[in-house]
Amino acid sequence: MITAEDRRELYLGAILLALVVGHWLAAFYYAPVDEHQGEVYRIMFLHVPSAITAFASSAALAVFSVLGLKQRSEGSLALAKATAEVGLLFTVLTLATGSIWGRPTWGTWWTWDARLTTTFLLALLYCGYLLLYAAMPAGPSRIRACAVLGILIFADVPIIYKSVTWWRTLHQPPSMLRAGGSTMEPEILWTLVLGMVILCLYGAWLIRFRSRNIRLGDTLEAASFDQLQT
Amino acid sequence: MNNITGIATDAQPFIIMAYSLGALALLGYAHWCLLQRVKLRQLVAAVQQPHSAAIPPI
Amino acid sequence: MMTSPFWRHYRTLVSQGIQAELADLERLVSPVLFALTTLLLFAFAIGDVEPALRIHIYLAETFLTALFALQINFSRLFEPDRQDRVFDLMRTYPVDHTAWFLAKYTLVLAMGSATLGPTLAFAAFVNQSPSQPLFSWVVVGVAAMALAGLAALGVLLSAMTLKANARQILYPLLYFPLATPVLLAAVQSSQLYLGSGQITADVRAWLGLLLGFDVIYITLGALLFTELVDES
Repeated sequence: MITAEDRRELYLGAILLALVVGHWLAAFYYAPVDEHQGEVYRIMFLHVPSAITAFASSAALAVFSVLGLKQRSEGSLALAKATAEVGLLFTVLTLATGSIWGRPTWGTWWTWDARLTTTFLLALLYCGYLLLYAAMPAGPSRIRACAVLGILIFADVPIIYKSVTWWRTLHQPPSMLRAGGSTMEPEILWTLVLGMVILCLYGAWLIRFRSRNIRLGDTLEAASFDQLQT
Repeated sequence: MNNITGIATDAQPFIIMAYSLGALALLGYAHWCLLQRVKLRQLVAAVQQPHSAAIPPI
Repeated sequence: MMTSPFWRHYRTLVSQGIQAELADLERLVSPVLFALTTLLLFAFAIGDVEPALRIHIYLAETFLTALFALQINFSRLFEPDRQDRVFDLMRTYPVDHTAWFLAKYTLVLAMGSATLGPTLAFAAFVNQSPSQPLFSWVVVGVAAMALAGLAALGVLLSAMTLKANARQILYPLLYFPLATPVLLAAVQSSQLYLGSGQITADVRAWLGLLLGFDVIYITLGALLFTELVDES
C-alpha cells in the first residue's frame, strides 16, 4: 500500500544502509590495529559516529524548534519530534557502545566520566522532550512549548565538549580536534570521518522518514474527524 | 591480516556485542518506521474512501 | 525612566505576585519544611561521616536538597495565574512580556532565597564539627549564583508545562537534567574552595562556568518566554 514517493525514500534508505555496512567492513578490513588497545578499539568506529550523530541531532532539534517558533506549524514540530526520537536512539547507542568499549579498556562497564555522564543527560533530555510532546494536547501551545524545550536542550551540548578539557577523567582527550592536529593514523582518521558522515546522513534519513509518518498520523486524525462530522 | 576471524578471542565478544547492538538499533528503528508507514497508508486510504467501513456509522 | 510602561508593568506584576504569595503562606513555608526534612533524611541515610569526606557529603546533600526544594517553588509559580484563567487573559492584555518574565523572575528569586537561606544555614548547622566549620559566605555566594540561573530556568519550564498533563512528574523530569550543570559547577567550586580555603584558578574556572550558565539561562529565558506567551 506504499506510494511511489515512499518507494523512492526506501531506496535512498537502502543505499545509506549499504554505505553503513560498507563502512563497518572498512572498520574491520581497512583500518589497522591500534598499538595500545588492539582490536577492541574498532568499537570506536560505531561509538564515535553515534555520538556525533546524537549531538548533531540536538543541533537539528534546535533548528527545527526555531522554525517551529517562527512558522508555528505542525510540520516543524513533526520534524522536531522525529529528531528527538532519532537523537535518543543514537544517544542510547553511544552509551551502550561506550560501556561495552569501556569494559575491556578501563576494566569497568560504567564510570562517572564527564562526557559519558553528560551524554546520559542528553538522553534524559530527549526523553523529557518526548514526554512533553505526549503530555500536551495538539495545538499551538504544544508547538511553542516543545520548540522552547528543543532550544534549551541544544544549550546543554557545549558542556559535553567542554567538560572533557575541564575534568581530568578516564575518557580519551579529544584526539581529532586539538591544537597541532590529530594523533591518529591517517587510515583510522579517515575511516572515522567517513563513519561520522555516513551515520549522520542515515540519521537524517531516519528523521525525514519518521517525520513523514507523524504527518501522516496527523492527516489520518484530521480525515477521521472530518468523516465523523459528515 | 585484519579480519574478524583474526581478532583476538578476548576482544571478539565485545566487538560482536557492540556491532550487534548497532545493527539492531539502526535496522530495528527503520523497520518499525516502515511498518508504521504501511499501516498509516492503509488507514488513510480507508478513511478517505467515501462511506468507509473502517469507521462504523454513529 | 522608572515611569515607563515597562517598569510600571514590572512593578505592578511584582506587587501582585507578592500579594498572591503572602495570601497563602503555605506556599512559602512548605518548600522550607521539605528542605529541612530532606536534610534529616540524608543525615539518617549517610550516618557518621569520616572527616576527610565531611565537606564532600555536606555540599552534596546541601545542594541536592536545595535543588529539590527550589523545584517546588518553581513548579508552582504560575499556579495563582491558573485560577480564573488569569494566565490566558494576561497573554491577550497589552502587557510587556519581558516585564512579565522579569516580574516572575524577581518573584521566584525572592521565594527561592527564602528557601535557600534556611537550607544552607541548617545544613551547615547539622554537619559542622569543632575542627571543621562549614558555613562560608563564599558558598552562600555560589548558591546565590546557582539560584540566579535556576530561577530563569524555573520560570520558563513552569510556563512551558502549564497546560501539560501529569505536570507534577513532567516538571521535575525536565528540570533536573537541565539543572545538573548548575549543580555540578556549584558543588565543584564550593568543594575546591572549602578544601583549600582560597579562591584558586580552578574555583574561578567553575564559577566562570556557573556565570556562563546564568547568562545563558537568563537570556534564553527572557527571549523564549516572550515566544511562549505570544498570542500571535
